[in-house]
Amino acid sequence: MSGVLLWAWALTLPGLVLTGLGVGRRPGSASLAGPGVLLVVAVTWLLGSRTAAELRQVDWLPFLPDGAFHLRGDALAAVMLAVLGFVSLCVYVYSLAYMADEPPAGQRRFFMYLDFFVASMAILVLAGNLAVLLIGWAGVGLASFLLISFWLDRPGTLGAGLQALAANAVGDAALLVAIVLVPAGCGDLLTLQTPACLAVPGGARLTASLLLVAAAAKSAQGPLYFWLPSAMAGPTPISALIHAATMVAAGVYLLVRTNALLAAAPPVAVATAALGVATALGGGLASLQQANFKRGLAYSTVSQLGYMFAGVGFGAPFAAIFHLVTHASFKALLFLSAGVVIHARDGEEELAALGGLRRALPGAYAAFLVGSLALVGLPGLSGALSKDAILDAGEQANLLLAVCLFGGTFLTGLYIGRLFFGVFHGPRPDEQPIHHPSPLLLWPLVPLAVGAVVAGYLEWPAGLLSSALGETAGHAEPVRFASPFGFFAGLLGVFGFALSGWRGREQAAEPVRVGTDAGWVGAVARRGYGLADRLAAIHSGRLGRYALASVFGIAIILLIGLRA
Amino acid sequence: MSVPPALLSVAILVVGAMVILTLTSRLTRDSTALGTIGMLTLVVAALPSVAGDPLSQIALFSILGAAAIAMLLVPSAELHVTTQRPEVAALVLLGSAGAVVLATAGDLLSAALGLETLSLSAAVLIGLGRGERPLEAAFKYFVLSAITFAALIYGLGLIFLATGSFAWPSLAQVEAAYHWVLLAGVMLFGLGVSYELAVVPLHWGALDVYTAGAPALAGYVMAASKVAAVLALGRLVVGAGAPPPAVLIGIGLLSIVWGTLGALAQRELRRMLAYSAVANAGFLALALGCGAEGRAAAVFYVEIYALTALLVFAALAGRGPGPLGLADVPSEEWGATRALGLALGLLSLAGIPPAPGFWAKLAVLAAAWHAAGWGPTVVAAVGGVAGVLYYLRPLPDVFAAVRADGGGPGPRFPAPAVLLAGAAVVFLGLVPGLAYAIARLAIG
Repeated sequence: MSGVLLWAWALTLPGLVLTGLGVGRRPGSASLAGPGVLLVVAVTWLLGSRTAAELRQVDWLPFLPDGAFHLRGDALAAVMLAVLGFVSLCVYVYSLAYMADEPPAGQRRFFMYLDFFVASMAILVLAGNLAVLLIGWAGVGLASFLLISFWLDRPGTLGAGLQALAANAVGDAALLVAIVLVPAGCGDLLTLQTPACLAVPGGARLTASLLLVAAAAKSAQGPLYFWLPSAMAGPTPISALIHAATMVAAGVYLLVRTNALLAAAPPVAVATAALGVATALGGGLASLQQANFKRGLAYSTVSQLGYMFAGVGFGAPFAAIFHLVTHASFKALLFLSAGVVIHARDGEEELAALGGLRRALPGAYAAFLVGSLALVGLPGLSGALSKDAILDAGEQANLLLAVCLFGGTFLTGLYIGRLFFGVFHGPRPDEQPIHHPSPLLLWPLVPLAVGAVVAGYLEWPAGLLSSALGETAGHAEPVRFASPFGFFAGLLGVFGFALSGWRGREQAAEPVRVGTDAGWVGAVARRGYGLADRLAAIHSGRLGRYALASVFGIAIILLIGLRA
Repeated sequence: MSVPPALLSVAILVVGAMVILTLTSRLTRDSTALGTIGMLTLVVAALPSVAGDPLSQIALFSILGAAAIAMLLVPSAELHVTTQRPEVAALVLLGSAGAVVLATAGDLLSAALGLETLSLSAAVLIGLGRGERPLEAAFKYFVLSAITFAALIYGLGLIFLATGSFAWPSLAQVEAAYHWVLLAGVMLFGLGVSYELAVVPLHWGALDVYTAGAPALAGYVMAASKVAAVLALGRLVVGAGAPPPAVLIGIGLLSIVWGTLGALAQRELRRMLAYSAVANAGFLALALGCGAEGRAAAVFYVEIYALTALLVFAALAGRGPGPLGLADVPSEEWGATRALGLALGLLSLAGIPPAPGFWAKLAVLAAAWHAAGWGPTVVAAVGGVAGVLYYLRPLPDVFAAVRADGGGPGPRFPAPAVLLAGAAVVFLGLVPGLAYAIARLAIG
């Protein structure tokens, strides 16, 4: 079984080829088996003897400090693969219906991109060293770009894709530098913290900071948050799978995988926690400002990823992974039920035009309610347990940050309540017709809703998840159900949720200010392009100037070279 | 007396070119025979490499490989006078002969001769293209190459003054008092060779040639001259002491920044590729300045870059010589093969793993980190990553266009060349270690 786990990344490739060749009555149906098998393989491994396996092909890239083709199938990878398989299976089935209005070639292309994404993501979590990690890392970035820009004929999709690509490029560059700066023989993700591998100028702090930058870019943390809300221009199933459940969590995964390195660099760990807390609060506040349904959810994802970063920074990688697992389920649920609404209203995403859909879309209503309550942390649901674990860790590591995070749960309740009551309650703003969703759109919500309710019980009370993960996600504290801190955090969230319901009744169609995103990115881009234009203008095409420039260039270089 | 294998190859290439030129009037009408003679010459010329050392093997393989792809592209080249295809084929062979000489020469004088043969053939090849712009570009390229060639000859004189021979120089042979003479000579000679590499501030001519020449020919000019220049420069800096590598690192970084910014400003695909060629030349120069590991990385990089550039230009060949604005990409006729070739090439140039261009960049960065420190590495890494911003810009439009009309790639589309180059790129992406090992053997 362990051998199969190592090759799990290849499981969606047959689907990719078959879909590309046009096999299957419905475009994309040939791809369905891939994620299903992936889920089965991962779960079977977790339920079985759990023997870790490794594949190591040395000297694959001899110019790197560690250029082996190195895969490692262990418990952490299996848990991530199980999450990936579970959410992507739901999203695949959902997409069959959601994308049914596309021309067949477009549907096939969509599923091929999806297959490529799942394969890249699987490589990312199975990577044993930085070099292989980078393949998956860049692969998911590319898949994300392709899928955000899927509807090229709609305004803004290409720009949004390029924004994602630019943010990813920052992270890729940091990872690249990390790959080449470690001493020879280093690069294995588990041994980066050994003294031999820290023998570089800067040591643990530099390596850990580079990985933090890479993770922050992938997970839209801190100043690199800007691309994720824009990424909502892509199809909604993509927002659920890539930009909520799996890819954006890759940064968290990386930090958990290398948690021993982070522990060797305490200042970077504190910075990680602070970055996470700041993003959790900032994302929550920003979500309250959004006029667009999906963007509101996107900022919620930014905020929840901040919780996970905070967890890693607090020295509790297990809590972060636990929240990653529960979040994958309830946030995918929220996005897919939002997709049902958007699909029923012919692509309408503006909150001002949505409202009172409770009776017309009861399935989406129930699913969104379950997802919201899991998100705010209603005691007993999955989000409550995992957020509790993070807050608990924070209480012991850094009380100030933990208290800020505690206050953040109120924001969580407020913003998700605003979306929930705004879309499903109150009066209908217009009498536009509503398409009733096909069963294929609703069925995938069921397993996700079950997950949103019960995923927390993977850990409490029996500690199944932490015993399965063992030491791969650091030393796990037993999660307490309803510690006072966590319990009150949950109540605070529910209070915020209820408050926005009460407020929402009074001001149903209040106009909302649209947040300005990515101000600094736009400014940097404008400056950069201005400089580029001026530089390109030097190339006037006049031979005399060219000749003069060449002669002076040679002379200057000669003088500099001889002086040195 | 035994003849060096590379020299034997050069002789075969020249004989092949002369045969083609002699039979011009017949071959003008019979393009199959022209292609057959050309390919046959290249294959026969590659045979002596069996007996050669790693350096001549890698030089012959990469240069003759590029020439083989160019030979497949000859029928698609947009020429001013369409009956001149035999001349084009002969010039490809002659240019390859020059490139092989430059890369494998036993002494500096032969290297200079090889350089001039290569650069003249390149200028004429570009000048044969259709329209006014190729001729103008070729003329500028020729004049600017004459200026740098003068510097090279002057450098050759200084080297001779210091060492008393035209052999590849080494600082150890020279008295300390004359070190600076040798250094000046090596730098001038090196700058002359760098013209073929197209680094800032010697990139002006190459920029126009890559932009204006017929795509089928510009790709070959770019590939052959860069491969030969890297091998020659790699041999030149071995024994030259500390300053020349430092200068190479400096102009490498300057070229990376310059080329990247220039490419970002472009609204035209060919011009964008030309600027990016400057940025890539910067990577090559940077690597050449980074010690033995860096020189191996440079050879590895140039093999992959030359192949990828050929793929991209082959995918653009046969669609007419005019500029291709990024805004016009959606209305262009692409066809699936052409689009796939272009996509593979651009993805590799952009450095998306596991495309080989990515491994090449990584190899250079690794070498730069160990030899040049974090500053140059970060500049190069940022420059490399910024490449994604411009290389990938046309791709969505290309695929949108393919999807919209589903038309063919046009009658002059060189499918064999695209397939050959594409297969080679895929192969290098899967086993980058093999190419790197060969590069390290050739020039350690």
